[in-house]
Amino acid sequence: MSTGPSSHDRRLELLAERALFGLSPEDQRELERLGVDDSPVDDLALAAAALDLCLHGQAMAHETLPAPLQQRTLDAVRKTAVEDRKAMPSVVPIPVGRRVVNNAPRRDWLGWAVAAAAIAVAAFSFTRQPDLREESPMELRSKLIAASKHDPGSVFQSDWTVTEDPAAKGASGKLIWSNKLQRGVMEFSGVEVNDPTKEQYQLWIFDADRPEATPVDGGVFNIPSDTEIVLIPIDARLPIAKPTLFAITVEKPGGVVVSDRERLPLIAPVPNEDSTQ
Amino acid sequence: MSASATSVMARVAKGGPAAMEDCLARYGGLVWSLARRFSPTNADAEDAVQEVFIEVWRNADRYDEAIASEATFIAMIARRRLIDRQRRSERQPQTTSWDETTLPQSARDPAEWLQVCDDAKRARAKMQELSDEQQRVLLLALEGGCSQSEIAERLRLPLGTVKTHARRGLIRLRELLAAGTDKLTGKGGAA
Repeated sequence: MSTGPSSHDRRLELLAERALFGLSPEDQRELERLGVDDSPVDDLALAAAALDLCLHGQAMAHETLPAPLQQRTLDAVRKTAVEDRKAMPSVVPIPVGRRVVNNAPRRDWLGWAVAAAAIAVAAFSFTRQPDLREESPMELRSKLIAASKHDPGSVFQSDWTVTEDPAAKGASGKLIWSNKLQRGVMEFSGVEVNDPTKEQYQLWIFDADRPEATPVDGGVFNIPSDTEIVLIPIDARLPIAKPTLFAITVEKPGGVVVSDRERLPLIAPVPNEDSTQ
Repeated sequence: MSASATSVMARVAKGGPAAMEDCLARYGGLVWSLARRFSPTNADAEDAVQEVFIEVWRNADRYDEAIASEATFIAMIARRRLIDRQRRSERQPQTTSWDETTLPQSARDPAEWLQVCDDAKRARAKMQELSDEQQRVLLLALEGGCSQSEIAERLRLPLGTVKTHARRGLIRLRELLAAGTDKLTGKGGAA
């Protein structure tokens, strides 16, 4: 019927027009029909932006954002961050398949004399000062799962392996981590509820590029009593180059800088080096 | 690869409030300049700047230094938002309405700016390989901020022809920039 451009070519035409002039509602609908996500990032928009910078760069070099506007902008971003975070509950029940408990023996890596790379802080979900980009754990989990679909190998998932520690009796769940994003989330079911006034769980991340004796502190967290499934975002205090093992200890409130590793209920070994890129 | 751990965008993606302050300090002037060019009034430009940086914050984890410099990435987000605002309000840029005496002085060295804009220089060089008509239309669109109708009037060309030159010119430029390299830019923004 048509001797016009193919849908692929037409899509490119519309993206080019969008990058230069924007689209009429009719053209926007056509672009949507051709199957375009609403991402602001595309090659044509980048090319237009590069050309814009070239043509106007000298003028831009003489510009500075007025200080009051800079502060208002920062406030607007912070407000948005808080609103976005409130849009999702911090702990969301999700059905998780139960695992056969594996009573793993203690191995040599348990001999670490932990000297944490950073000072531990208060619990993730309740008392930690929020970061600008803090998302709900569910939102973060969804993002990581999505990343694993369109960038296989960028995200790894590992079931928790339980030890003989009573806190892990009947525990299951998994750890999801993206080295690319340097973000992750821990999923737990059946882990013993803790009394934050007496003890807290603390995550440690072993990095092949760091001495085994000094894993990176991943923060402290609590297991609440009224939730079947708990999601905890991972907040590494230092960049993780090549994670080899994630381990959870039970420590005093607020966590420790050096763990005596007396209680170590859960570990999650990294499947293989290639899956952490 | 994505952004190096020390880049401003990588730190914004990680979420530290200080990182966003750094981002505003480094790229606020760029966005402010774009916003003023696309906006009819100071108030409109100020609103736009806030919208743009909210978008920058939301999309920071999409940044990949292998593809573009931070400046280009932020300019892309800003242009998209500003063009959308412009179309929604059916306004055209009115840069002459600005009181030049109110413009802030720069804290940035232009020489440093040119270093940040390696990909911009490449885009300019590759533009010379486009047809004369494509170059003229793109220059009027990007340098003059003209609408397609205005370009058609100035060049005395049918509107459809202007649209074709603009679209094909930008698509060809994208192809030229990608040829022989997997990235738009030689390097990311200076830390």
